[in-house]
Amino acid sequence: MDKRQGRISTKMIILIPVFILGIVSIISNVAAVGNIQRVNSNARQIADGYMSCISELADIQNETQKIHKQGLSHIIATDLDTMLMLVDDIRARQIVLEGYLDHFQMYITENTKDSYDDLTANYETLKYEIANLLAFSAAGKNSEAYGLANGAIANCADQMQADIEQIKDVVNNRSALARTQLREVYQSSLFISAITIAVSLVSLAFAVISVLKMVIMPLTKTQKEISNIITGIDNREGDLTRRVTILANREVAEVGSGINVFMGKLQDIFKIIISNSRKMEEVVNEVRESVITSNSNVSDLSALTEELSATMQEMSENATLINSNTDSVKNEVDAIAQRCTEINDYARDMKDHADSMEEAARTNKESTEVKVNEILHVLNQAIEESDSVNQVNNLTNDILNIASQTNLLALNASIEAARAGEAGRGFAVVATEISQLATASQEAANHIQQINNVVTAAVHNLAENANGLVQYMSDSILPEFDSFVESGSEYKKKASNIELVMNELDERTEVLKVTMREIAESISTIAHAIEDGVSGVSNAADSTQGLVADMENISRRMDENYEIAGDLKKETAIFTKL
Amino acid sequence: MKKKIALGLFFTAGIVAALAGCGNQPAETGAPEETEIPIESPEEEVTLESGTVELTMWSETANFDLLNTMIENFKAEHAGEVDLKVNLVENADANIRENVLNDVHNAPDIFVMVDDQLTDLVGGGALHPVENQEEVKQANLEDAVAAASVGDTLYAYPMTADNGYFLYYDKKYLSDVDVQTLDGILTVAAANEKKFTMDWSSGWYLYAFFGGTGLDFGINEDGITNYCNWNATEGDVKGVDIAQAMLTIGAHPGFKNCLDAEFLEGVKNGSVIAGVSGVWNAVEIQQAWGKDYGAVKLPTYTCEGKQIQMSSFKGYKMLGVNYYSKQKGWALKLADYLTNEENQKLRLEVRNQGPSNKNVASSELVGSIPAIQAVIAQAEYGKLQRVGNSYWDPFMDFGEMMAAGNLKGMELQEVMDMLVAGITASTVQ
Repeated sequence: MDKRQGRISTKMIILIPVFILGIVSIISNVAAVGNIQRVNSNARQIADGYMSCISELADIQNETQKIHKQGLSHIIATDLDTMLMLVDDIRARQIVLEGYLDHFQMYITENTKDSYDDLTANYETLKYEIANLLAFSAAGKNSEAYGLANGAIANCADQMQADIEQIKDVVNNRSALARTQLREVYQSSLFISAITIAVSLVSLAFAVISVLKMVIMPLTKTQKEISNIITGIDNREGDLTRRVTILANREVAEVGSGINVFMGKLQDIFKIIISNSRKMEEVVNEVRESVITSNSNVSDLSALTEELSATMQEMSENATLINSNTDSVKNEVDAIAQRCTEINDYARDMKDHADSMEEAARTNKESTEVKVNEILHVLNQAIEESDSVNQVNNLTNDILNIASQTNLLALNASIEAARAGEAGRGFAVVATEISQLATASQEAANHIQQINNVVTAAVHNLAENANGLVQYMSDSILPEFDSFVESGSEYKKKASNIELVMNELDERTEVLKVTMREIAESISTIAHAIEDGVSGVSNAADSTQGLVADMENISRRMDENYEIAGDLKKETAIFTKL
Repeated sequence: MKKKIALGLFFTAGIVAALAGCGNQPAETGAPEETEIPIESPEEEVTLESGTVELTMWSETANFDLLNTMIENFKAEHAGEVDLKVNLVENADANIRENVLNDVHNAPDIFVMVDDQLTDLVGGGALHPVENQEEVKQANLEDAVAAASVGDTLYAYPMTADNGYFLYYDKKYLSDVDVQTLDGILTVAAANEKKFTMDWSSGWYLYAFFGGTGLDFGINEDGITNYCNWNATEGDVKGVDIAQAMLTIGAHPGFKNCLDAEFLEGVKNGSVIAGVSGVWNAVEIQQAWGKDYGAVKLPTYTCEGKQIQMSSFKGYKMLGVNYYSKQKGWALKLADYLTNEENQKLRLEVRNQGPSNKNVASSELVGSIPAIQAVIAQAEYGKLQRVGNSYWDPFMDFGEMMAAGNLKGMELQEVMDMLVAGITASTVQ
């Protein structure tokens, strides 16, 4: 252990220069990025900032001149279309120029602010006077328009030019400063890169030498020793007692020790393998013999199981037949129960019918009695009233008396008329007519009396017959109704008896149905059990056959094991020393 | 294992720190991210200004009351949106071109203008185009829209279609037959020691003597200069014939050359029984003459023994909005309102001014106003007023000479040649 601690760490020898190389690389990259940023910043400042700034100043100057020029063109325009075109053009340019001026604000610094403010103020004045120029020009006041163009507007344009030049000077100075900074950054970048390259080269050389001396050469020696051991084994002269040399370097020494420990472990393992191979050969021989014996027994068991399976199959078929018959009986009992229920319902209907029959007979009897009494009462009253017919005779007698007296009066009148002579002739005619009338009245009264006699006789006859009819109903019809009531009552009683008996039959049939269902279920359960038994026995037969196959397989495998044990014995024979 | 993790973290932290350092470098001031200049569209976006908005409007005094009513209605409609103050300032409609172009920055936000002033105002960039072009074009008569447009662009809001002149007469003195000829009118006026008046200081009115003669006049295609042969020495009617006729009229005791305001004064005091003017005086004249108020087309005048129908310029009045207005949004909105259908109807009812709005022009009210009827009748003999700048000035001397009968030692043909030379002169120097 002490020896190992005293050795130099290869890991540290290799990693230290790699670390140095990595750190130098990072530092150099960071420095490079920083320099690139500074270069980029300065370059952008020059290109985007100062160059654009100067470019925009040129644009502002250019647009100002164009607006001035277009104003002059407006004055000399000879048609309206040109004037309109110039007005539109000037306004479009003013918008563009104002855009430039707004945009230019981003370049403004303390040094250029005054010039920029002056520039925008001059532009506003120019814009104001351009509007006046256009108006004067359109009004035909060309001299005033020219006065503005060459006076106020020209002055504004010159002032703007001066402002632009001032801003340009400031920007150019700043641009020169930025270029100087850019050059300095470039030189410092070159210096840093040279140092970085030198340090990197030294670190790389150190790392290469260290790896060669401390790692690659010791490992090559150890690899040769291992190759010798393997060559001995290949030549069937294997020597597991040999070991590799342990070197001074800590990590490579650990590799050599590891290989030697491995060789020791391998030596022990092979010893155990050879011993166990011999034991296995003996065990395999014993198992092979037992398997041969078991194989024969299992074949017998398989035949028996197949026979049992056939018997169970037959039992299953019989049970299925019984089950089928039981289902038929159960269905018959269900049909009987159904019929009982129907008869029971019928008996209940009969009883209800008998009830209604008895009730109807009783009701008819009572209503018939009431009706007979009513008829009797009406009939008696009619007979009594028919006696008034007799009064007709009395009245016709009175008519006959009146007619007789009238006839007498007519006769006397005729006599008195005859006495009166010619004066009573008319009266005599009247007396004669009255006499004829009295005679006719007598004849009519006599006819009435004859007819009345016939009517009276008929009424009496009718009364007698009606009494006979009432008597017949009281004596014959009403007792029949009593007989009906009695029959209805008897019918009801018998129907009740039938219902009672049928109810009892229905209950017993229900008990029979339940019993039959239980029997059917039991037989079904038995059939299923037999089927399961058949299946089980069949499976057992199959399993037994499988067992036979397995035993044959075991026997075959044991043969193979026997061969393997033989091979192991041959292979371990390559080691001459263990 | 812990050593390996620490080593990995060291490297990762170093790289991340280096990269983060790159990203955190502050940008140099004065170096823009983008250098493109945003070029704006020449189309100007007009927005409605908020808060207190003060507008100035030029108009003739006679219209102030009506305009104040309309402006108050406008304020009521926009109460809460803006605190609007409108200053009405007196200015003759005929002088708008001159006054606006003289000082565009101090010209009013809105002004009443005549269609012949349109091209100069547009050419000088003094007019802001109408915002709701299609809507206004649809609402107004085609001729009125054309008179307010240059190319396809509508530069002013059409307001009236009556900017012409015709004859006002007092029925107490003049019959329907008398007013058919200028000779008849002058005879009656002289007999009653009254006057027929006409403004001969303005080329606008003097066109009446030339338009019906068959001679030629108009504006060139350049839109600026004029062509004219009113000094013609051949033909049925020669230039000198017209001048001679004018000299005769000017010398008649029943004639008086005077400005429009003087004519109205004469009507009111009874010294004038007929005169040439426009609808802007209709209400006052009707009040002065009452039931004897009459208005008809212009009469014929005698020229070289022939009766020639007096012609006229016809035109349209419109509202212009100053391009340099500080409150363009509300100026445009108010101008649009003052010329909409409702206010043109109001203008017809109150001031008898002929509408350019299609719906109002087709209303029954138009037929019941004599001045409008007279404008319509005279329109048959009128010409749309399209003249170059140089048209106006030569007439100032010419009219005065004709009215005074003083040719200042020149032959009549010389006078006509001078007139035509002035009319056709180029303004470009």
